[in-house]
Amino acid sequence: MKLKRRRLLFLNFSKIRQLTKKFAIIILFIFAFVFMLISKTDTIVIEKTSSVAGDLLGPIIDTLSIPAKFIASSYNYVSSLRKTYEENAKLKEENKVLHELRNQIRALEIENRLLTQLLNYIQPPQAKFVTVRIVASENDAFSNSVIAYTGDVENIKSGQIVLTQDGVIGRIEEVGKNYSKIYLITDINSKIPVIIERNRVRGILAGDNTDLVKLVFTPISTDIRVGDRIITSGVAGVFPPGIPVGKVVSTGKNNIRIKPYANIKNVEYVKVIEYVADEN
Amino acid sequence: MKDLWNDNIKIHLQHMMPVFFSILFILMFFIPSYPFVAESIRPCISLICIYFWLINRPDIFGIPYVFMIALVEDFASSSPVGSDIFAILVLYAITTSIYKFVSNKPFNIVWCGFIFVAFITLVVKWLVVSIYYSQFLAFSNVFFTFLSTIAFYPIFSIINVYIHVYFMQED
Repeated sequence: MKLKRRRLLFLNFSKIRQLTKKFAIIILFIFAFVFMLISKTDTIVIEKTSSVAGDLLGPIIDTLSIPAKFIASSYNYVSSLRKTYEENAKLKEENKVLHELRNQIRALEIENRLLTQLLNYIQPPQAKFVTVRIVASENDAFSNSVIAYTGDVENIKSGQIVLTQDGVIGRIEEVGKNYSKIYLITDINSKIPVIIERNRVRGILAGDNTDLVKLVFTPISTDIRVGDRIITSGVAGVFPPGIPVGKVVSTGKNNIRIKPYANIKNVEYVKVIEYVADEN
Repeated sequence: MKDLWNDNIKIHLQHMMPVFFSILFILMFFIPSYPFVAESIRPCISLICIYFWLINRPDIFGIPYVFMIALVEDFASSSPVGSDIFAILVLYAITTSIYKFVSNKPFNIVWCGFIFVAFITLVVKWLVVSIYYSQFLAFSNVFFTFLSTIAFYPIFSIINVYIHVYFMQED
């Protein structure tokens, strides 16, 4: 009796197993679909799982990149040796220009301070920054992001702006224990409030996973020219104003394209800006 | 008894080698490239590895392993969660259905099979991600990814053959 029941149970179990095997792909398709639905609704579960996954995978990628870093530094050393003479001459020229500019800036700073006092103007808060290292990057047709090691840094928050010496490259999206994910400005999820420096017209810089970023929500009649500088507007108080982002490279109808100043595809170290507009 | 136990563990470890190396290759392509490597060359390594093992070792490389690799890629990348799983399941479904036409055939036929499978998979992924964002992504970028993926197939096939020979020889 006992044996019969056991056999029956085993048969039932193997039937379930066979059925599961048969329908595994359908079940997994449903699983993937549900995953996408949950991700679309932006639940905390997905965000937390992603940051945990980032913390788990970050050290592995970091370790794997050690040989690549060694090769890159050797390559840089050799190529910099080759260019030393040329660079030295170039830097001397640049230094002359910078000396002249420094004197001009000093004069302008004093003038600015006096005028600010005169108008009783409240200065926007000064942005603080920290430098972090990029450990992983992903630039393909479907996403444009990087992972940075932020383990030793306090106050890293989602939404903070990330830049290089040349300009904005993106913003912090997910913050893990040691690693944070940064969406590049070319990513389809990236939206940054900007202004055209020349005529102070506002717009939104929206990525679409291509190398050139789209400028949207600008008035139709706006005079936008190729070569116009695009800087952050500081609207919404998330990003400090005046940081260079890129320049206009094409001005088609409903298709204004911006080339980022920063070489976002080859970044090693980036600055994360800590900026709170309502601090003062 | 102990030997049997050891043998079992050894076989299990050997069976895990395709998954281990596939994940390793996927993560390797997340390493930031430096000036001497073009950043735009980013093939879908997961497609190459999964197709290779499904064609050559379908006995050990089943859907749980495929799902495991897809899950890792999904969480490592920034594309919508679930989109990589969806695309890789499409790859699994097509590969298993064309298996008899490409298995034990010359490399050219296997490669042609991969070109077909990779194209359909990337187009499906492009559609899924475009629907997700309610906006069509640039197809030229997807096509470039497709070209780099099919170009990398022979290289990673050789690497996978070596993995098979050196790590799964006694299997």
